[in-house]
Amino acid sequence: MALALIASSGALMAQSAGTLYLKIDPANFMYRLDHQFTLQKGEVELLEGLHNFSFWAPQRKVVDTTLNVPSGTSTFTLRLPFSTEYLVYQRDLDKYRNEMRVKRLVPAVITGGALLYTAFKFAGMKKAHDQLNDDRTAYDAAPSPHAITVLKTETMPAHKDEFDKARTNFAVAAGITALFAGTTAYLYLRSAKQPKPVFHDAEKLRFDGLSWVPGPEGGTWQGGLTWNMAR
Amino acid sequence: MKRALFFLLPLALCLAGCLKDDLNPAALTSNPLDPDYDGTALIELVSDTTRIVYAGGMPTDTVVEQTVHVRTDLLAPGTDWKLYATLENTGEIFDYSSEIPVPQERLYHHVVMGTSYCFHYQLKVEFSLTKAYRYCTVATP
Repeated sequence: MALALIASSGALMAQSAGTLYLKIDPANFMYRLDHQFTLQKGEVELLEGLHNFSFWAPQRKVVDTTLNVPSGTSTFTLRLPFSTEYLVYQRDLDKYRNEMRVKRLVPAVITGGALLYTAFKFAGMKKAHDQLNDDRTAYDAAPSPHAITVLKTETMPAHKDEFDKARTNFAVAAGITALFAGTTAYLYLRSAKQPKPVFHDAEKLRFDGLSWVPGPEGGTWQGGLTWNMAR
Repeated sequence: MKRALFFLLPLALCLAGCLKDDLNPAALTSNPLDPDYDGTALIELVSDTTRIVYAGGMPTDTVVEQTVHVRTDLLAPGTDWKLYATLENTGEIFDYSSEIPVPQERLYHHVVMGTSYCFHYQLKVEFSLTKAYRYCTVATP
C-alpha cells in the first residue's frame, strides 16, 4: 500500500517518506486514510506531511484526526472511545439481564430452596413413618402385657401425632413448592417473550461510507448509509 | 420447566400417598401377651370335674377341679410366666406366681352341689397380667 501511495503521488516525489506506527486500542481497529483507503495495518509508510485518518473499531466511535507525518519513524497512540449506541446497548443489556435474573433466576432459586425444604420435610415424614413401623415391630416383640399397654396407649398415639404433623408439614411444603414452581414457570414463559437488546453499530455505517478497500485482487468499493431514526 | 412441574406434582402426591398412617393400635391384637389378644386361647381348659375328697375312708370335702393348659408355644422362647386365677363373684385369688414350683395348674375349692364356679385365668408376666380366660364348672354329685 505504501508503494501504491507513493506511486500515485508523482507530483510530490520530491518529498521524503515517513513510517507511522499506530498503537490503537482496541487492536482490531480499522482506519480510513485521507478519505480514500480503508486499512487495518498497524504500520503505514506515507509521504511526510499532513494526512487525514478516520479510526474506528467495533463498538467504538469514529475518531477523525489529521496527523503530521514526519520523515523517519513516528508513533501515534490512541484509545478509541465507546460509541454512544454501544453504551446504550450495554445499559439495555444490563437491564435485560437484571430483569431476566429477577424473572428467572430468583424464582428458580426460591423454588429450589422450597424443593429442598420439601425434601427435608419428606425426610421427617419418612422418619415418623419408619417410627410407626418400628412400633408395630415392637408390639410383636413386646415382652409383657404392661409393655404392650404402654405401647398402645402412650407410645403409638404420640408417634401417630408426630406422623400427622410431619405429613401436614410435608403437604404444606409441597403446596408452597408447587406454587413457586408454577410462578417460576409463568415468569419464565413470560420473560421468554421479552426481546433481547440487539446492538446495531451505527458508527460502522458511518465509518464505512463509500470507500475503496484494497484486496489481493484489486479491492472493492464499500458503501454505507446512516439514518438516525430518532430524529 | 413445565415438564419438571408436571413431574414434580404427581411425585409429591405419590410420596405423600405412599406413606400412610396405617397403624391402628386398637387393631393390634396378635400378641398373646396383649390384654386385647384375640387369637388362639393362651390358656385352655383341658378338663373339669367335681371330686369328693376322702380322709380315712370317709368323705370329708367336695371340690371342683379344673385342669388348664398354658400354650407356651404361643409365647416367645424364654418368656417367664406365672399362673394367676380369680374366682368370679368372690374375687378370691389363687396366685401361683409365688409358688415354686408352680403346681400343676389345678384349682380346688369347696363347693355346693348344683352351683356354677367360674374362674378367670391369666398369666403374670413381668408383674402384669395378660387377657383373662373364663372357664366355669357346675358342681355335680
